[in-house]
Amino acid sequence: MKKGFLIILMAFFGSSLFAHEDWIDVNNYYPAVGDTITIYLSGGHHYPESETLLAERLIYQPEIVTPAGRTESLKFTAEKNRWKTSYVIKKAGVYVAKFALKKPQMDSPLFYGKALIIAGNKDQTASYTANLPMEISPIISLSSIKPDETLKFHLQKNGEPKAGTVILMPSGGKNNYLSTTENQPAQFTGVQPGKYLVYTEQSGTNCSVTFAIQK
Amino acid sequence: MTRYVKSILIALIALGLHSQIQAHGVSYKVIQGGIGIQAQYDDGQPISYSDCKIFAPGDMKTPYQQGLTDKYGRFVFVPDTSGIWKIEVDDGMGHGLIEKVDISNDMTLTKGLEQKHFNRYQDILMGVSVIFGITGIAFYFAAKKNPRQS
Repeated sequence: MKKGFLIILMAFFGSSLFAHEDWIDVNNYYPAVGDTITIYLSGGHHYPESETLLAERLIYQPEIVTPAGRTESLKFTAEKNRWKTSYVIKKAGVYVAKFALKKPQMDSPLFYGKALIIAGNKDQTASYTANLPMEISPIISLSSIKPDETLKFHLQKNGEPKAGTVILMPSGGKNNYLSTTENQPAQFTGVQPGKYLVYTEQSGTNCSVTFAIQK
Repeated sequence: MTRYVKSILIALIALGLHSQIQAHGVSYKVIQGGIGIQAQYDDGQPISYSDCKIFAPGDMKTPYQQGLTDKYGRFVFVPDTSGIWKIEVDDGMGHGLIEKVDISNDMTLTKGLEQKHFNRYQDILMGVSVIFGITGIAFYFAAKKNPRQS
C-alpha cells in the first residue's frame, strides 16, 4: 500500500513539473567542413519534438557565430510546427547558432536560446559562451566526454555565474533537475551519446542550450 | 451685373465643393465598461502584448475583435449580443488559453465565470488533497478488509 501511495505521489509531481520550453536545434551537431546543416527554432514539452510554431513577430536576432567570431544573420522559413533554415559549414571550430524571443513592445527578450555545433572535430570550450544576457554553457569539452562521465554547466547572467536549478532533458528522455551555485557548476553524471536540451527560468526570463554527445 | 452674379456663383460652387471634399468628418464619444480578461502565467506573470481573439456566439471562425493584450495581460471588448463568447490568448511561444464566457441579455458577465484558473500552488494543493483523499479511502477499505485483532 505504501508503494502504491508513493507511485501516485511521484506520478502527480512528475506531471506537474513538465514545462513548455523553446530551443534552437540542429540536425547534425558534429558536421564536417563543407556539410550543410539544418537549424530549427522549436518549442514544446518533449525535446526534440516541436509542438509550437513560434510567432514570427517574437523571433529576435536569429544568428550564427562562426569559429572566427563573426556573426551571420539566419533567415528561417516556417514549417508546420517549427522554423527551419540551412547553413553551410565553412571551417572547423565551434559554431553557436542562437536566437531570442522578444515582444516588440518590451525592452529586453524573454528567452535566449543557443545550439553548440562542433565542426571538423575542432572543439574549444571557451567558444561555448555567446555573451548572451542569460545562458547555460557546458564547462567541459563536449567532443571528448565519454559515456558515463559527468557533464558540467554554468548558468550565467551578464557573464557572471548564477545560482539556480537547470533542467537537463536528453532527446526523448525525462527531465533531470540539477542545482548550480555561483561557485559550483551543475553536474549530470552518467551521460550517454545523444542530443540534449538544458534549460532554466529565472525572474521571468528563460534560456536554453542544445548540444550532442558523440558515441 | 451678370459678371457679378457669375463670380458669386463660382465662389459658392467652390465653397460647396470644398466642404464636400472635407465631408469625412469624425466625432467620438468616450465609452466605459465592456468585458475584460486579464491573462497570466501560472507564476502570476502577465501574458502581456500577446495575441487575443474574441469570437461572438454563432461564429467561432471569424473573430469579432482581435488585438494584443496590454502590459498587464488585459484585453477588453464590448459584446453586442448575449450568449457564449470565446476568448483566445496566445503568447506566440507555446502558452495560451481558451476561455468561454457567458454574456447575459444586459451585456454583463454571468456570475460565477469571472475566474476559472488556479495558479500553480493551488493546483499542487488541490492535487495533493485529491491524492490524500483517494489514499484515505483506499486505506479505509484495506483496514475494513483486514481488521486488526486487538
